[in-house]
Amino acid sequence: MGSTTASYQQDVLVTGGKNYADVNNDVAKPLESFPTTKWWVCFGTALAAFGMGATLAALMFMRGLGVLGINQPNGWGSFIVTFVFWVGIGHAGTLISAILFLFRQKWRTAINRSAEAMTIFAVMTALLFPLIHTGRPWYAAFWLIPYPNQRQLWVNFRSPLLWDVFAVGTYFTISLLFWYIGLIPDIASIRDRAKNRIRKVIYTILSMGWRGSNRHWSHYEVAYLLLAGLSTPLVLSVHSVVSFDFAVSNLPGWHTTIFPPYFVAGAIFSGFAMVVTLLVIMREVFNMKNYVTIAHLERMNKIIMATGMMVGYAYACEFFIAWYSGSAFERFVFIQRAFGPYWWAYWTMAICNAFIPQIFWWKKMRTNIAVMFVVSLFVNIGMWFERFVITITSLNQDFLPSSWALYVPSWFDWGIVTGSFGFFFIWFLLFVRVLPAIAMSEVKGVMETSHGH
Amino acid sequence: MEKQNLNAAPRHWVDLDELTPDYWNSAQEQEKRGQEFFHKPIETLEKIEKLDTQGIARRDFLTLMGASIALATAACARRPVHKIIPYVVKPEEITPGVANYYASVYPYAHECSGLLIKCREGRPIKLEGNPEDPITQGKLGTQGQASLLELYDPERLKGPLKVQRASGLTQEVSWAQANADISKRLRSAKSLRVLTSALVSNSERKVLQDFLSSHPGSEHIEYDALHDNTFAEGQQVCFGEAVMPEYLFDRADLVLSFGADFLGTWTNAVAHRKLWGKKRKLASANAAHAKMSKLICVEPTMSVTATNSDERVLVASGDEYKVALALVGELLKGNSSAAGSAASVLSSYSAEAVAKDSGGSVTAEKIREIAHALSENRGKSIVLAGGISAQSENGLALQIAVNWLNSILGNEGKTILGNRAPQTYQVQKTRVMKLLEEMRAGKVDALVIAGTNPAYSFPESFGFKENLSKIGIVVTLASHLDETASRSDYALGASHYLESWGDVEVRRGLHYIQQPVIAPLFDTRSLGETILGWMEPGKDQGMNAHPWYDYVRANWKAQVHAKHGRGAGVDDFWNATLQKGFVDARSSSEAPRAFRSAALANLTKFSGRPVQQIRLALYASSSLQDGRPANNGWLQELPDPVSTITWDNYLNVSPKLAKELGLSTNDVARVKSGAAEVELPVVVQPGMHASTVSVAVGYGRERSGKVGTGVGVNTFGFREGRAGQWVAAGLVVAVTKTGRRYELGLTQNHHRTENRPIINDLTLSEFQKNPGEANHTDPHLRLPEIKSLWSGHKYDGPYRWGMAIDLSSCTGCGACTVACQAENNVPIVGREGVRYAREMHWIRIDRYYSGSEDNPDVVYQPMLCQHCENASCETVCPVLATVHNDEGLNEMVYNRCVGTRYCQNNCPYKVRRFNYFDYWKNHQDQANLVWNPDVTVRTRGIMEKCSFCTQRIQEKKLLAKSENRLVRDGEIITACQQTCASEAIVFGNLNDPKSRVSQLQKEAHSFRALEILNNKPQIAYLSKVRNKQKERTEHDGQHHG
Repeated sequence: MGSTTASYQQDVLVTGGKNYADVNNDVAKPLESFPTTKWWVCFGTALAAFGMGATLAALMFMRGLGVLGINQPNGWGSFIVTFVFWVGIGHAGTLISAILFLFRQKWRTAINRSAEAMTIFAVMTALLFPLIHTGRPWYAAFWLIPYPNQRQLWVNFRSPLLWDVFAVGTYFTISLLFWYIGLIPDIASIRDRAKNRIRKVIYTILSMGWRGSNRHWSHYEVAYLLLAGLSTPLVLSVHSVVSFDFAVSNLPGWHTTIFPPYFVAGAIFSGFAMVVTLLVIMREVFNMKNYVTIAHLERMNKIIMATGMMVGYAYACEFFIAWYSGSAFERFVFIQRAFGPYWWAYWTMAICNAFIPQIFWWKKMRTNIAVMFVVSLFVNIGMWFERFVITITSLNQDFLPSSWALYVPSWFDWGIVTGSFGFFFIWFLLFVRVLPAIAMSEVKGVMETSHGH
Repeated sequence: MEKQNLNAAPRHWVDLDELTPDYWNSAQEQEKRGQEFFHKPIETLEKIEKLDTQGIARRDFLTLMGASIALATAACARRPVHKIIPYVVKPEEITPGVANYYASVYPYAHECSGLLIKCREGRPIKLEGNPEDPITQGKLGTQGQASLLELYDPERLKGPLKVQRASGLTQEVSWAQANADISKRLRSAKSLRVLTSALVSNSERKVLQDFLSSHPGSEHIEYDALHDNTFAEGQQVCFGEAVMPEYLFDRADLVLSFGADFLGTWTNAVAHRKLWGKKRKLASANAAHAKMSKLICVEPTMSVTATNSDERVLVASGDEYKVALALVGELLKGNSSAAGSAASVLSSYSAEAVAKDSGGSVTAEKIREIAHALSENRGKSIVLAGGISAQSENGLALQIAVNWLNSILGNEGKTILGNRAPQTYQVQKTRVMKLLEEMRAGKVDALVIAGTNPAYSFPESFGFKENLSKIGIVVTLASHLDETASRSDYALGASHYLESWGDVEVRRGLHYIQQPVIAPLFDTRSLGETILGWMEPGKDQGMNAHPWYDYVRANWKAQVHAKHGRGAGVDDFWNATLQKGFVDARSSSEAPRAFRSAALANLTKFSGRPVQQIRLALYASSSLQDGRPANNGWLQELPDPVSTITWDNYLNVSPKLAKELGLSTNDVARVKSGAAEVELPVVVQPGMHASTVSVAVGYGRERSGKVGTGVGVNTFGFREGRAGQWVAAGLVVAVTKTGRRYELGLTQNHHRTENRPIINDLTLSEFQKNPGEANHTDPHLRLPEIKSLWSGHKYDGPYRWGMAIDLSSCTGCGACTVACQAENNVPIVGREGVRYAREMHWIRIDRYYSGSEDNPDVVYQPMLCQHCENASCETVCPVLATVHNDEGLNEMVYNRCVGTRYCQNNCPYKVRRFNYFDYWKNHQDQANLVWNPDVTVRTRGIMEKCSFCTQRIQEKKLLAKSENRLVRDGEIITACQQTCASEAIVFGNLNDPKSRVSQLQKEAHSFRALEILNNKPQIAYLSKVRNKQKERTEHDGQHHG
């Protein structure tokens, strides 16, 4: 009993002997000072990447989708791969803020804000792709929405693509609300510190009249709890539904019942890896090492390792089922995955996702910033390839051997995919400049000092 | 699992170890190796490629660039106003929206077919065979179908051009100016030569005779690059007259072909397919007594005919005659007197000697087996040889042996009729060589060339191009400013056959009228008009002067009406014939021709050959033939039935030789013979003779147009003129690897079914035992009855459309693909598009190999939208752009499609085609007239696929409704079915149990492709049955377990 308490007490969530004022000062500092060179370099790079992607996309709109690598058997290519990738990234935020909130995991407070922001930006980035991958985005933008119209045209509720529209749309809306509600007390703090008039007006509007009264706090906490409850099933549903895009089809390699849990585990895995990537940079650039501590990161790494093994299990399970089902199509696809023309993609995926995170069995490794940064990057790469493997290796060799053809992305594919990273980072970098990247009010609640008073 | 022996003919199974050999698996995979991550997009590649080898993609790029600039600069501009102008005075025959059909003829010697031309609002939009035609019976070949596009080719010569031969500069002149100058200069020429393709029109022949008779010292020479001179010579020597006999494949139980691609590229292939197909259809009702003809091919290459054979004997190119003579020897065994003077020659061709010489590919037992089969089928067999791949040094010996065999077997007059042939099948080569000799000697003052392109198709060694300069005036009548026209003094624009009058006699007594269905689009003239213009300058002036029409009619009156008019008035007879398209006054006599034993003097004693030599055989390309239609994108993009390659010719190399030479598909090899040296991309072709390589002619046009110029390599240069022989096969060549690679545009990268339940093939004996036998057990071919919660679609109305496709009679020719392209406005995507696997064909021919790579079995499977009842595409479309209708059609709503391509991914048959670009913009200017107004032209970003010709269904349904009846069986004919010569495709109403399609779908040997997926296609395939004795061995069964 005593030892448990001791270990719990050892778990200091904010280090460096910070007090409440320090929290406000430290968190608000990036908002109230001129951007650093580091920030400008990051922002410039992101802007350039996005500019390139946007230019290529504009050219693509003018010429047609033929500039991409897609072809007859491979109807989907890098765009759908990247869509699933970004939706997956978008999982960690809500998981951290909602599920960990419900489980009273206090350590989440330091990271939930940025993780949620990441979620929102990731989903925004993801949403670009289903739109631009269509042949006629100018219609796809609204024809997929069931709205009453004179032509009495309706959507096909049997199509997983339509489920996607609802699942991702709902997820985005709830995540945005959840994030924003959590932000209100902190925005109010920034408002109160604002010296510039314009700044004050903007933050005043954004804080929606928050005065920090008891009434406000009690409403806030109830709303936050409710939204946490609402978001929790969404964490599981959104990627399950995305997985239906594949699972509901009849292609060998796609038509699998394991996909929903497999996709959710993969999404959490990749989302946490992206959070680690971003936090390692953020705590470095904005000097927030006392708030986002090694202990936080270590916990994240444990989850990465756990979900990595789930994903690894799914890989193995797919192979087992391919053999056990007796389906020749299925068996062929899986043998081709590992040893066919895209073997390199498969093994990149398997090594990055199932093997590399195993290094976190060693505490030394999972508390080492450099190691975890590299591992998180590998996981991100591995997870992109997971989607590539799923999408392409099933399409390129499906039922009729006469139609088999390889998929090779063009530089339009790569440019636009890179541009999506630019798009994501533009938002994220703007976020850390204008909104408190750490939930000040929540951090204060878990600080050592709070026990003392 | 036991490792498979490749030669033990496993059915469709392929072991994993087998997947690795590069030649058998995927050339594409090798090509992309090392660049898996990165592929340059189409436009950029086009700019980088220094040789602008392919017009389409470049044009595509330009139009797209143009479109993007226009979009960027004028996005808000109003659309230009196009006024719709109604007829003030409606032409009598034209009702907008209703098609008129006119009878005419496709007037080319190698493939003459009666036509029914569909015209809409005064322009021809689709060519179909005339169903009443006694020879082709409503069917049309690939070139015939595609010839429509040539009418609207915007790069045709648009009138007469005066060409400066030295500089190549051209100047537009009027016909009056040109004719005045030409007729003056021709009249002053001492020796005038007229070089034309084989003339099939009597009036053209006559007007030319009239013209030449007024020019003393003149001569008419016919020349076609692919003319079968050796064949004609063989006929001449053996029967005294050079004719193309009529082969009645529907009477033959056994066909033995020595390299004659009679189902593919050889003369009259449409008629041959039609007749051959009749003997390949089986009914399961009386399966135990089912009969079909047997086709044995003795040849080195994989021609379309070879892939349709029941048995193949591989023999090195140029050695076919040895097998043929050995067969004669076997048949005359014990009757040596029958061989007469040739007895000693014949005895040197013993089965053993020939087998020994062949290096093992032919065995003495095999020869005896075939001889036995022939002797069993006396009077019921056909032996034939032909095509340029049979024009070896000993080609004449082969022809003589074949004719000899036929006469020994008594096939003459039974299955081979020599007395109904046209007059036009001459030995061309002798007179052509004489012309070349005269040109070399400077004895020709004036040369008129029409309908043939000698500057392209003569090998350099013939010296045609260099000796042209010795001729005072060269006038060429051509459709394009081609290799020959650009070297002439005058390049006169030739009218398309759909724009001009003519009368064609393709068989003796079978007279067609070729009637124009559109006024010439440009200021062009037909050969007859041109010559009349020279004979009587000035007479062709004026609005109502139609001298050529008058001439054709007068000639018709004299030659046809007088003989076959049966007392009808000239006008009535003429009009009746115009309406019907032809007069059939063929003699019904089937008298056999006598074989002249004097021909045997041409045979020489057996001589062996060095085994290690690599030999080259030229062959005619299935799509481009002699290269004339090179600027026709439909043909360029039609995949070769065997190799599935588009937009190029290539060197076919056997797997064994490829291994020896270190070559794989897409390697560039240098091929050198005495006469020529070219570099060609290699295709490792299963079924090729181990030491024979082959390459198609008809490619490498230097001046054709944006589409055809520079596509492939000109291989006519290999043809050798030796001692009066034109040799195109059996040429000894050296093949070396260059180390460079060239990516060919393949439409099929994997060649085996992987033992999947896609096709089903049986031997005849298997069929007789159990017609419903499935030769796949892994996974099962047929789906057992399964319970469904959903009751399925209800087809309560009178109709439910479906199709049946007979794999036994499909020859793989690809005419359906082109017909569909014409009917349904299917665009072409260019070589680069094919490399990207983006071809748009709504119906394609999948080709699968099974058995050993040295001599595989081949199955062709036409693959089109299966109109599944449980369609995978329908459920996944988010916007309901593809839906099922209450007549069983899977409909595609172009306007609703947003292009998610989910349907394409989910379609197990991969028949859905996505518009990656605005492909229709490839059609420039007049080319837009070819669109079928009943079918939407698709923009980019949307999906398209086979609609079962929904416009044709609708048309006949409306007609039936207006007549208050139901559509009759066979009334609706899809475009693919319409042109399929072997009648492998049957479309109809499945709700009518008596319809042909219903009957066929109930056959025991019908099956659905990928039936186990429970997609329930509306198309049933009938199992491929081969007339092969070999039964399935125990060994074959094992790998299914």
